[in-house]
Amino acid sequence: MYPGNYFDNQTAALTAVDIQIHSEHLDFHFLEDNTRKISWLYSEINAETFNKRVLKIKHPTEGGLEITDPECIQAFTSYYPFRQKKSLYGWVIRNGNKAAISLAALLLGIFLIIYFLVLPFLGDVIAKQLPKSFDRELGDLARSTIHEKIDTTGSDLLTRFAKQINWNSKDTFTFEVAKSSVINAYALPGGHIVVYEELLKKINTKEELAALLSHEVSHVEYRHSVRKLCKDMSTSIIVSAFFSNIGSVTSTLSSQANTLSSLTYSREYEKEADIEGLAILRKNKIDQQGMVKLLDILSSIDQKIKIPTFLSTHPLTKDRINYVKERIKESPAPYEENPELTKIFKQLKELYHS
Amino acid sequence: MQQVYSATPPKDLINQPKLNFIGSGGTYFGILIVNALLCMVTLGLYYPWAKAKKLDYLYSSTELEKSGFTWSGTGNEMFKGFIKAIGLIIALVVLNITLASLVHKAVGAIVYFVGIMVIIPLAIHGSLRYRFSRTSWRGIRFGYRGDRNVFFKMFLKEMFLTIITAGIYGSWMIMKIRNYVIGNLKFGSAEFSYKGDGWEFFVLNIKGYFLTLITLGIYGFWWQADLFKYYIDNLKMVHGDKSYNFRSTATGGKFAGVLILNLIIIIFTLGFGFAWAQINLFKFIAENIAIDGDIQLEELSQTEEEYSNAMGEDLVDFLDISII
Repeated sequence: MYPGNYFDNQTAALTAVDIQIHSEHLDFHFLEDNTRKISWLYSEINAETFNKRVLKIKHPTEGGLEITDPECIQAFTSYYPFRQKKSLYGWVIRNGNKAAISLAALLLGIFLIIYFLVLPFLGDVIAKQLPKSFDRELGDLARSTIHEKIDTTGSDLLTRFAKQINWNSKDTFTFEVAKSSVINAYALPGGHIVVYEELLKKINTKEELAALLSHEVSHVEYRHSVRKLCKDMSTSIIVSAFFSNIGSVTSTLSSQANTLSSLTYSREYEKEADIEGLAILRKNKIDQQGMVKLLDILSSIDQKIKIPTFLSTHPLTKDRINYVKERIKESPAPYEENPELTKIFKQLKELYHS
Repeated sequence: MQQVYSATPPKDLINQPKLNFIGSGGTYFGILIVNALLCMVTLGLYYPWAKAKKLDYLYSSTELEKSGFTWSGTGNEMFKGFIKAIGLIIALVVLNITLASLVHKAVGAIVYFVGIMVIIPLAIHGSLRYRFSRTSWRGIRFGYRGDRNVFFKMFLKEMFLTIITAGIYGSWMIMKIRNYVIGNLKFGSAEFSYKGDGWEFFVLNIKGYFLTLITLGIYGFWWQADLFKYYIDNLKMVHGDKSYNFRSTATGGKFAGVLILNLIIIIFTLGFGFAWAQINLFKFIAENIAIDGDIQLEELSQTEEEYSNAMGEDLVDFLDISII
């Protein structure tokens, strides 16, 4: 005999009852009226426990029981075939915090694997499906949102400088110098490359400038913006699905178009641009040390308080210097003077002297 | 709001039923995570069952006079609604694209906009019907008895007025809709009513908005407390000639406490603490609703039918509308 409360589905009144638990059914009689007795088969009722504290039993027509007596809950649990028992939810509800922590750990693991392995792969697969014309459209779109003050004389010189280098690419590139106090350079998908005059002032040799341009051209050539976009998009779609918020999927898709203006690349893409930039330098018989010197310049600016956007997205310059040096050691290449490059660079430096 | 009795009832009949929220952050987190995993694995198709699990837990965790509420909706019901809702949205998008390419872009856009405007009130109505018919306490079902056509016309009229007044009318719209919706809520044989006034609500929001700006956001907590108070204090439950009044005991200071604590929890757990934060908020809400009056809860009797069409419930999720 265990104490419990009965409601009859007609009113919200609770009536005290005495419950007896049997192997196939339970029955209870009313304290106020000893002659009245109700019997329910386990097969016809629905039961669930909550926080191990409350047992709720519902009969489809005759009402329900609320039981808080722990012994009764235990006795009932030993007979009643809980449907929830085997499910993940049953496990979570029984184990509370312990379940939460193990799930959190599992989840973090899955999340890391997806974020660092699956998504970049998926993004690349999607990016490969997109035609190159997509890059150019994307670049044009981004360009229409960025307003730069273009220095035409400098841009002409930079274009002439770039023409001296064989980019070995099907893309066509445009090179421009923009007036800004920020030390920065960036490449838009489709081949539009912008160098800020403040950065040109810091650059001392033509090899450094060639290295900078090779680096930016490689970003375009290897479609880093588009790959990043695809990766970010798949990330946000999966994140939305994860938090079961379907309504936001569409808004995520449209907002992704704007992230392009942030123009940040991951470390992995920077590395690829550095390495492929070196290959361009080798092919053009330009001293690969230009890349090392360029990174030296960047790291020296890095330490100043004013952190320019371009550099802040190029993390761990020391690390980059190391692998670039190693790469040069692995594949040394002869280089020769290019008088035309020297001449144009001199003109550029006259415009942008430090 | 002051309570006015027609006659002083006998003292022993006044009672103050207690609302309690007894959920635990750990369990709730577990449920949300299992939901998230299953949604991910099934590419979102599990969503209706996930929602049923979540509601089931939250309802069971809310107690009135030590008896928990029951959510008896099922994932299967909501899945049917989910499929219908997806179908409807897709049909609308396809119609938009077809009209845009065959007739004119503007025509497609207008039809789409009108379509959404028509769907929103129907979705809210359907969702209210379903949600409340699936809510019960000690076996007594809640119910929403609003009339679909009346609500539909009212919603479109209010929406129209809000649009042409550039949103200023919004306060009146919200109050009209809230008065209507809550006025049609039933808890067995008891009825709810809400007496909100558009002007009062408007002043409250304008005052809140400007003071929040002036105090660099600090007043925001007091604004929140005012909104909560306006919501709760105008709520009433009537059963025959007896009634319950609801009263908020939350203050701006209390709101600041719980919201700042939640912010800290979320930041320091890198977002993983969101379940605990939500549970804190639910506890806070339940603790700060005081109920008093002369209704005997035992006298509430069953009056509401079951209703199993969950399409509205899923549509409001798609359109990202939060009801009530």
